[in-house]
This record gives sequence, C-alpha cells and structure tokens, in this order.
Amino acid sequence: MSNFAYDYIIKYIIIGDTGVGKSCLLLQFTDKRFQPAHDLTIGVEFGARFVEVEGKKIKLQIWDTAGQESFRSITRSYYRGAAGALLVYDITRRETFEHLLIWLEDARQHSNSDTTIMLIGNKSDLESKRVVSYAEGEAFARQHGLFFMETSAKTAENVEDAYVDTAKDIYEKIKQGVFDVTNEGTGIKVGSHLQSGGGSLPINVNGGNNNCC
Amino acid sequence: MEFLSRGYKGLLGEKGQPQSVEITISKLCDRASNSTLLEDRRAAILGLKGLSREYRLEVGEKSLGALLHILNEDRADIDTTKAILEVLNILCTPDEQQEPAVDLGVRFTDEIVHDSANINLLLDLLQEYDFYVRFHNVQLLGTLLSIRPDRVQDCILTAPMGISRLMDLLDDRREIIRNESLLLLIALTENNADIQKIVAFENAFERLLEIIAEEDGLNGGIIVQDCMQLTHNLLRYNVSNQNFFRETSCIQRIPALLGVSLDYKHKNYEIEFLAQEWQEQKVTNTIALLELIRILVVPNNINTLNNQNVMAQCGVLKTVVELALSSNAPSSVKAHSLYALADLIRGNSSSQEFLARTVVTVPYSSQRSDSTQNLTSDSNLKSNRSSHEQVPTLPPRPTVMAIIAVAVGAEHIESYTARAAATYAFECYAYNNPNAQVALASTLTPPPDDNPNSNINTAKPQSAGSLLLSALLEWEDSEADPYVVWFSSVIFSHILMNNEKSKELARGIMIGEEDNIDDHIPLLHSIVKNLILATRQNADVRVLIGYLCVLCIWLWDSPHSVKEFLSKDAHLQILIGPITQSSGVDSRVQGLCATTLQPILLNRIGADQFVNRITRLRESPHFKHVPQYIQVTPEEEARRLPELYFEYAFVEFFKNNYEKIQRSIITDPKLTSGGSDFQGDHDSSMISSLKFVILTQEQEIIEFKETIRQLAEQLEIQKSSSEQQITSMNEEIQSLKQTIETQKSERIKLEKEHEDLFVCLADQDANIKKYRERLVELGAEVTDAEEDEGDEDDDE
Repeated sequence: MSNFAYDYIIKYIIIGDTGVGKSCLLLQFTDKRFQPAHDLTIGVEFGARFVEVEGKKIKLQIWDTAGQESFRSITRSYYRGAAGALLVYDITRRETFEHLLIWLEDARQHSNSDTTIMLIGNKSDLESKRVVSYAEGEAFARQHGLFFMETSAKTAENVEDAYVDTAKDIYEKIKQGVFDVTNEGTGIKVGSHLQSGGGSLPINVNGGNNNCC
Repeated sequence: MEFLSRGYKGLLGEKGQPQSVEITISKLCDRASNSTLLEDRRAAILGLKGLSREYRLEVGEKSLGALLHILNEDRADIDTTKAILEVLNILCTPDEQQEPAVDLGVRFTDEIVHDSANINLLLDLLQEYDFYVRFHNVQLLGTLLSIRPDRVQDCILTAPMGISRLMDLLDDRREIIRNESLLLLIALTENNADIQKIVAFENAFERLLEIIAEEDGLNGGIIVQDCMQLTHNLLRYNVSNQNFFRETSCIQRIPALLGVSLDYKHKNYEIEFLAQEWQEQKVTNTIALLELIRILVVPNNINTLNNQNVMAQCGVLKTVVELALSSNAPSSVKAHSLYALADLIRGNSSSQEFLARTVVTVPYSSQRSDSTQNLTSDSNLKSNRSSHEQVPTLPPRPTVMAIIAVAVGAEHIESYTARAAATYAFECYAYNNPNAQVALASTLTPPPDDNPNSNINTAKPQSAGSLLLSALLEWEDSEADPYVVWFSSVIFSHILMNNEKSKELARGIMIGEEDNIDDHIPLLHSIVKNLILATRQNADVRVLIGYLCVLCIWLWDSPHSVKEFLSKDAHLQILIGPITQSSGVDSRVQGLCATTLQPILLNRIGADQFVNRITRLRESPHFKHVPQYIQVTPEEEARRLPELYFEYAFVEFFKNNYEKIQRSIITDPKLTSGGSDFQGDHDSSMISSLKFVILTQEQEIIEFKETIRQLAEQLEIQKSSSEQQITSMNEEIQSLKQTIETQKSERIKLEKEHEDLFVCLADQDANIKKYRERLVELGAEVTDAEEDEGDEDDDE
C-alpha cells in the first residue's frame, strides 16, 4: 500500500487552442512517450503521475481538455477545482498565441484566484517554423503574472520542469497557507498521514528555509 | 393559514359570488407579479399552488412565465421560493396516464428548459440551505431531467458551477436531501460521458466511498446501493474515469468493502465468515459492488489488463474467489462473484496462474445432498446459520476444480445462474491460456468408478479432469438435468479449443474396463457412442447439442482427430443421417452435424441441403441471440430449464468459420452443376466415394510403408555387405603390405649377398691374375681360352 501513499494530491488542467499539443504534453509527462498522430481529445482526459518537491510525494492529477471551441463550455467546469493550470500555445502558429488572452480571461473568471498558471510555448523543436519568439512569450507571461517556459512534447525538453515548477509554486502557497487545504474544491488534497499529525497546517518545517533570499 | 385565506379572498367576487377559475387564476397571477408587498405576492403564489393540482392546465398556461420571473426576483424569500418550486413541480410532473405527446408535464417542462437561464437559476438556488427549498429544487430538477434528459444535461454541463453545486449536496447532513441528490446525480450521469467526468473531477468517487463507509458498507441500506449505482454510471465505458478511479487508489478500497475478508488472524475467522447473514439489501449491495468490479475489467477494454493487475495485487481477486466458492452467500451472489472472477482473470496470465495455484475450502453445508432435484431452489434462507456455529468444511481443493464442480452441478448450490457463471469463469480461465488447457487435458482420466453415474461427489479425491469426464458422460441422468452434460461439454470444448496438444492428450484417453475389449474405447468414440444412444432415447436436445459442439471443436483443424473419428465406419453416418432427414430432427442438431462434418469433408462435399442446414443453425434464435457470456435470466431460472443451447465462444467460432464453410461448399466444381436436386442416394454415393478415397489412400499409405520397409532392408543389406567388403579389402591390403615388406627385406639381403659375392669374385680374379702371372713367370703357356674360361666362370 505504501506505493499509493502521497503527501499531497494536486489537480492540474491543461488548456489552450486545439492542436497546440496538450495531450502530447500529458502523454510525455505520464508515459514518457510521444505520439505524433494523436486523435482529437473529446471533452476531457485524465492522467496522473507522482513528482517530488522538497522531499514530499506529490501526486499530480491532470485533466487534459479539448481545445475546440465547442467544448469550451464543458471544460470551464474544471477551472475552479484545479490548483494548477498549464496554458499552452504553439510557437509555430501565431493565432494560438493571440488567443491566449481569451483563455486567460476564461481562466481568471472561472478559476480560483490562487490557481498557479504556467504559460507554455510548445513545439520548441520546430525552430525553423517558429513565428512567436521566446521574448514575446516571456513578455506576455510577465505582463499577466504567469510562469513561462518553452517546451517540446516531442523531445521532452522542459516538459518535466513545466509540471514540477508549477507544483513547486503551489507547494510554496500551501506552506504559506494560501489554500484552504481542508476544502478539496481548491484542487488540493492532503495525505491522510499529514492530516492526522498535529492540528495545524502541514508545513514542512525543514523545507521552510528554502524560500528565503 | 393566513396566507391561504388571503389568497382565496380572490376567489370571491365583489358580491361574494364565486368567480370562474380562469378569472381567479388571472387575478392571482397579476397579484403575484405586481403587488408591492412581498406578503401579497407570496399569498397569491400560495393561492396558485392551491389550484395547481386541480387546474393544472389553467394555472400552468397563465402563470408559468410569471412564476419563473418571480423566482428570479424574490429568491431571497424562502417561503416564496419554496412555494414556486412546489408549483413548478406539480405542473411538470408527468401524468402517468397521459400520452407523452399531450401530457401537460412535458409541455410545461419544455417551456422551462427552453431557456437555459431557468436551469441556471435552479442551479444557483441549490446554494439555499433551507430544507424545503433544497428538497423541492432537487425534485424539480429530477422531474425536468426525467422528461428532457438531453436538454437538461446540456444546460447543466454548460453551467460552470452547476455540477459542483449538485455535488455539494452529497455533503448535506440531512439524509433526505443527500439521498434525493444521489438519485438526481444517477439520472444526470446516465449516458453522458462529459458530465460523468466532471462529476468524477468533483471527487465523486471519494465522496461516494465515504458515504458507503459511513453507512456500514454492504450491510447498509438502499443508499449504499444508490452510491454503487452512481459509481457504475461514472465508470461504465468511461476510460478516463476508470483511470482516475485506479489512480486515486479506489480499487484498493474494494476488498475491505466486500467485507468477507475478515481478519485472517482472527481465530474464528472462518466461522464468522460462514455465519454472515444475507438480508435482501446486503445481497443487492454485494451484487452492485461485484458489478462495479466487472465494469472495470470488462473484456476488450483498453484499461482491463491494468485494472485486472491492480485487482489481483490488492486482493480483490482473492476476496472474490472466496465469496464465490467458500462463503455462505446465496447463489445469486455466488453467481455474480463467479462472473466477476471470470472477468478478473480473462486473458490475464498472471491472474489465471493465481487461480491455478490456489486452493479453496468449500463449506460442507453447500455440498450436494442426496437429492439432486432441488437444483433451482435458492439457498438464500438455508445458508443463514446462527453465528458461531461450527461449520464443517471439506479439505481444501484446487480452485479450478471447485469451479468445475459448481458448473457440472456437483455442488449443492445451485441455480442454473450460478452454474452458467461457473462455466463462464472456466472459459475465461482457459482463454488464451494453452498451458492450462494442456494441464487440464492431462488430468482427464476415466471416472474412478466403473459406474460413471454414481454420485460424483464422493470423498474420493478426484482430479478436475476426472470430475469433468464423469459429468460429460453422464447423459443418462439428463432428463432431470441436461445441463450436467451441456456445461461439461462447454468446459471440455474450451480445454480442446485451438489446442492440438490438448486434443492429442484427449485422443489418448480410453474409457471403460480394460478387460472388456468391446467396452474399452477411446474417449472420442465414447462421446460419439453417447451421442448415438442419447439420440435414440430421445434425450434432451441440449445433450445432443453439447456433444456435437464438442465434436465440432475437437475435429476442427485436427487431421489426427478426424482420422481417429473415421476409424469407425459408422461414425460418418451418425453425422450425415440427421442432415438428410427432412423431419423429426431438431434444426439446430442438423446444423451442428453439418458444421461438424465440415472439417472432415472440406472441399469434397457440397449441397444446398448442406448449406441450408448450416444457415438455419445460424438463423436460429438461440444461436443468433447468444449473450456474450453464458447467463441465465431470473425468468429462466424460475422455469424448469433455462433456454441455454449455445455459448458465445462456440458461436464466434462458428461465425468465424462460416464464410469458409459456405465458400468451400459452394465452390466445389463437382457439385455446383446439379446441386438443387441433390438427394439421399447422392449422399450415400458420396459417402461411398469418400470411403473409397480414404481406403485408396490408406492402401497407398500401406504400400508406401511396405516400399519404405523394403528399401530400408535393402539398404541394410547393402550396407553390411559393403562393410564386409571393406573389411576384407583392408585385410588384404594389410597382408599385401606385409608381403611387400618381407620381399623388400629379402631383396636387400640378396643384394648384400650379391655384393659379397662380387667382392669375393674380385678377390678371386685378382688371385687368378696373380697365379697366371706366376705361371707365365714359371714359363707355362697360358691360353686365352683359359682366360675366357676364367671369365666365363665369373659370369656363371
């Protein structure tokens, strides 16, 4: 049973235009493989994986959403319950970058205000076809208070980091007591062994120094 | 009451005369919408409520729009809200006696759901904590959903907070609200994968499992059943949710829920285990949980292998095996456990292996008593024992054998449902498991008794194979229970299916007493013999079908088996006979005979009749509508015998080969010309021609064998003679070599002598010269002749 023990469960959603590689980003992360001819996602698909942050076992539950407009109203139901969101665009298709504002507005409106959003410029392996520069992506992220990273679901470049860095930020917020972790609606669940030990927030005492300076 | 009296004042005219209903309703509507005082509006609504049952049409037509508007405006007032929800509920609830087309409930529902804002309003109102508001709201949503499921599902789906609000109702401490919400969620999640996923996203599994635990698990009431039902809806055909269920370790919670796995270290474990009480609700809950397991391991699902593995690791498989075979559960629970067991191992080699190496204890109480008649009686009540009573168990036996024992009716349980389930469980054990097939085939030994019909459940240790063989050949008891033969035929054919090694082992089995040559026959012949006897004595058609299916599977693609079958002349006629009879033979039997003949006569037989028989088999309802797994419906269980004639795997086998059979028959060049008036004597001529072919071939084989033998002999002779020659030649060479050697040395000796002689001669020559010179000196005359003489002497 110890295989299934976790310190925290954190819910993620992956959003962004259709065809930017959301499902591939999930598959690369959970199965460590790339599937070039992936079918269109219908509605929402689920995936899960463990990561470790400051010695804590964190189980990421990830909902990969359909990017098409027709599913937009369905996927909104997932925003509020997620603590992390990966907002993905395709560096080879400018329109997917231009739609970011719409996505962001949707996310801000329907999600928890504490949700950590990671902006991801995907398909960094296709340098020759690039139309959105790294600087542009970075500037957009800075302007809207998002984390930023360019990834390649194909070569796996930065994929791991995108998920883990998001988890690190959420874990910082947990430690600072930003989330009400007793309410699962925030997209965070505390492992039973952490819940039972002491009444207060499950703060990692040793890891607490790391965020100074 | 004050509200009521105020409302009804409107019913009286100025002179106290009763007004018409239409006018009253109009006035109430007007007041409900336009009065400045909240109390007046509220009173008018209560007035409408009072009239709504009796004057549903009028109230609905006049007030529906107004009521929805007020609901939006006055939602802060609990009493108003409550009353409006009640009226809407009354208006929309369908009249059972009405046609849907003219039903007012449908009409008013359509008016409400037409605008999604109305549904959003109701979803918003779910936040109101008041008991009646919540209660009526949930009921209203349920009513709307039951009438226009698709539309309401769409509206709820597109309301970002909708499902989240509905899910929050599950945490309501007031049971009625929680239970009603559960029913609403069950209806909502029916057939809509997107809603199912959002519900799961809102932690449904965790919440439902918590409720089940709070309600004392399977011992709990109907609420547990409802939780299970909702879980089924979320998981059925929903791969994403199945992943979620597994990844959130929910499968690991099943064994504890199943409850039968008590603390193994507890010394009274077995006794408590066997003393469980099975109230009706517990039976229903248990079956629901077993169904949940099956949903996760349904055949041909992308997730099945993964889920099967987790279920085996965390003990679900073990617990299900115990429930199926070792518990005191009623036979309906056992049947479902066996089905769950079946799907848990199907095609999963490690789980199949687990089954192969485990043993189970079977409670003595479930052993077959002397009477085999009450097979269909449910042991529901019988199995309830007072607690802590010592329940004797038999020594452990292999799990697979215990499954076969249930199937062939060697246990006292047992409904046809449970036996069908056990047969399916066996099928899944043998599925993609050639090693198990061979292992079982090698335990096929003749029944230990000389009377195969004696009670097969004696204390004598039996192998799975001998248990099966006893049952297979036990057709004489078939009047009471033809399924002994039918189920054992199915099991036996699954041991043989597509496995030549198993067929070979089965061919080696001899039945009967060894001393009696007539009785001591191969199993294959014994089955044919049983088929003949059963046909002659008009045994139940299920017996004939069972045997024919076995033959069909056995002979298919197995020339050795066909040869064995044909080694008795009469065998062919047994199959051809029923095909050619035009009446008095069950069409399914005819079709099976034709199908069985197929591997024997491939490419050599063809006739419309042949095709017709097979086609009719294919078209027969019991064949066409065979369920995916062997099952007996409750209605069938209530009858004397179920309507089970074929099983899925056989039908699949048949369908896969049907085309081939058809083609090979139809395209036969010899018979396509005059096919239509093909009649009986053609059959016999065909048979004799076939026999002739076979005989000729056999003759040829014999001849070839003889030639081979002769050639081998010749070769042997030649070999030995040439060896002799070689040896003698070698010897000769050896002796010649020796001779040469001797002659060589002789020659050397002679040469040496020769040389010596030369030396001697030279000496003598020298002497002669000396003497001659002396003679000349002495004055004697020396002639040439003397010299020549001397020379001549030398030459000699």
